[in-house]
Amino acid sequence: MLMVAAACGQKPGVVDSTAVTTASGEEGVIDSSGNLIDPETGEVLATAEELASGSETTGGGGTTTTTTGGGSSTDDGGSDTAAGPSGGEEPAPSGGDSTGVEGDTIKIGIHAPITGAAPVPSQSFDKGKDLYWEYLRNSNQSINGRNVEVVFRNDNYNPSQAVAACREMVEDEKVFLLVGIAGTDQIQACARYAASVGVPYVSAGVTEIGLTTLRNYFAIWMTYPQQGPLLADLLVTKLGAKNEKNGMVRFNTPTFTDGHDAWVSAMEEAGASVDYDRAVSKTAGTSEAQTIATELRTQGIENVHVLVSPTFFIQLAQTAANQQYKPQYVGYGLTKGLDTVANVACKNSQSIQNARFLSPFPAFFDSNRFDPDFRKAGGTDDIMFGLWGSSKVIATMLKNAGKDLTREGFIYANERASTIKTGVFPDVKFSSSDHLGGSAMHLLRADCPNNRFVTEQAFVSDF
Amino acid sequence: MRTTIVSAVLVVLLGLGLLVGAGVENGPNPFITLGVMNGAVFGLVALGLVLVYKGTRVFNFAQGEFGTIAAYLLFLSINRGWPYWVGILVALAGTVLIGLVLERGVIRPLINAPRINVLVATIAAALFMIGMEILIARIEPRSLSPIIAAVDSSGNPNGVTVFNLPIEPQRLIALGVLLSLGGVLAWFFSKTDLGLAVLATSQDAFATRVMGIGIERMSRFIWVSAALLGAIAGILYVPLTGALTPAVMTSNILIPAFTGAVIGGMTSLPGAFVGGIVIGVVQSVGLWAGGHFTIGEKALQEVIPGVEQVTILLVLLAVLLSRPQGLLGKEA
Repeated sequence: MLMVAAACGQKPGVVDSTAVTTASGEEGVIDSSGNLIDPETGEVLATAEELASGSETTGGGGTTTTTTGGGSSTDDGGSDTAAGPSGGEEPAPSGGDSTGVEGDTIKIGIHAPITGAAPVPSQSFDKGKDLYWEYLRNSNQSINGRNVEVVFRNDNYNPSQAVAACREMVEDEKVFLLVGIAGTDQIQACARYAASVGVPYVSAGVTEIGLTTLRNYFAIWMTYPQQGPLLADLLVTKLGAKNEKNGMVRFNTPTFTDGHDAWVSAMEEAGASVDYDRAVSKTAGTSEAQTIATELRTQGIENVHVLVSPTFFIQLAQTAANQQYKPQYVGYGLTKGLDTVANVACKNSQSIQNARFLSPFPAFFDSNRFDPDFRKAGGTDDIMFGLWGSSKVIATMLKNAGKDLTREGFIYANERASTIKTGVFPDVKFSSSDHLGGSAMHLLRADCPNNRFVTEQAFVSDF
Repeated sequence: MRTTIVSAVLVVLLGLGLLVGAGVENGPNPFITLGVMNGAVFGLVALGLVLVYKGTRVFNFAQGEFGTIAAYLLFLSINRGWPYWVGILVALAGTVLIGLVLERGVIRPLINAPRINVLVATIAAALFMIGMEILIARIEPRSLSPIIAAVDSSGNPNGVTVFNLPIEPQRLIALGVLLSLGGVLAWFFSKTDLGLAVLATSQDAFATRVMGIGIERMSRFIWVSAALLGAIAGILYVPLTGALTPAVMTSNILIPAFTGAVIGGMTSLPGAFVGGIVIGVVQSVGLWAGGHFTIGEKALQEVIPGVEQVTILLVLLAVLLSRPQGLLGKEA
């Protein structure tokens, strides 16, 4: 049982100054990793997983009350002390927290790295975040009689800033749920924060580390560990990787570890070698890109899996092309498969021609084939298309929760709802024991002569 | 004399490194070469930093953004269909103008203020310039072509190959420009009246004024020169990066350049050159070593994440502990 008391002093790195007291009497504050720490000594009193799952609690039954800013929630918490989503049936929650649902409006909060890693047109986010909801309004459709209002915050590709943004959206903007569009570290940090305050978190498919035990967390496309075998399958089946030299370049953030391990294991199982495996700092720039490009070229690596930011990918591809080295690039979705990346990386040297990336949504070029309403509604690029697709998933998830919308009801209903089909994203299906809902991906290919990506294969779950 | 000795030691060390690495499969030689090339760009920015420090005793945090703005001006000029050389002139002239405005509007009013105030003002100026870049150019990456393309229309390389490392013409130009500017500036500060007047101003502004030297004129000269050096670095470096984005020079170059300037000695222009090269080589070879060597079953990069940054830190510490004024530094 957790109780929230008055706010107290704050140590560096502490992101939540609200004092939290465990049933065992330990009092602390939430740090940037979502852990409960002693504000004076910095000692970890309870990990984020323990907080989220309730395993830190010692008493049976009782009431869990969480209050942050104006939002409040109360749920009968005896059974919630089990770690993670349980496989067994549990009764539908009656009542609950409906913060963010007012009159005919549901307020949701989205965070993404507009700056810091993936330099993308901010106006696309500005327009794209509302596009689907405006389309619903204009075509007299609604979410059980309500419309959705979106609050958007830039997290600057920084977990601390992401948590600050999410906290602000929860406490000040009083959003019903949070959405993480891109950025693994930021998504992990925000999801853990959201778990600590009982807010549902709908996420891009990224890492699984520290997230699978969070009951509020829903990934709406395949995670990196799920994409790993798919990418290995692509390399072996379609790109001839078995008889070629393969390598991986990744940022050395711990949240990429499972994505890395899954791919390496899948490659080995498929009989393909991983001849180059390089971790590089998240703050790496052109100098590091040049060194890595030189290593890749001198070692003759033909297929390169890149798990880095789009900016670093562009730098790597450009510096490699300057050395007349153009390997086959592949990677997980979604940011490196954006047209804005092709537009830059292709221009001078066609450095990423035929690069292939998995993506949760098809290329913008092909969008009419998948959802003609998107362009009719005013969609003009792939960022908007991605936001359109994710909005369609979220709309269905909100509908699933019914008219009496509460955070608890949202989680409960979507654990039991049928498959979500949007025509843009691959099918999404959750259960009470599995909140990783992705089932397939799209395969995008860089079409450098036209400075864009095209959809090579849609809704693919194997090659 | 000291410059000659330090430069000779550096050349011998590089030579030894190349000799030792000659027989190693996937060895360090291309990375030493690459480090020298990268170091040339660090050195160019470091020259501007040292110039301002010599003249005003201020660390100029806006130095990187002179380069980014020049790159944007070049990009805009090329996009308007103007010839590349016209774009370069526009970029240089525009950045010099910004340097003038910065000096007159921000630095001059603080000419008698504590140096920490001026330092903070340069941080504010850098942030302002980054804000303007985002506002005007937005944050989308842009592609800026080099002066001479890395490959010709037939796909053949235009540069040279050293130790199995193809070196683009742009890098050779950067190295040549660094060597030339380093020499010219060293001569300027030691042999010309204007150069000596700049140094005198930094040592004792009051005495300099008594001698009839206008310290305002010296300040203007220093900041215009620094802007020009920053602009040259931006024009030469950004096309190598693949993506022109706001703050590209500050985020990629400023810290290594600062470190290079400190290693070389903040008051020494040849030191900026030497320090830039040292940082370039240490970074590149450190990164190579992180992937090449193993400790037990694990690669060095897994045992020490960011091994290249740790190596730079160790080199910096070693230099500062043994010679606090830097390799070539001395009181101006």
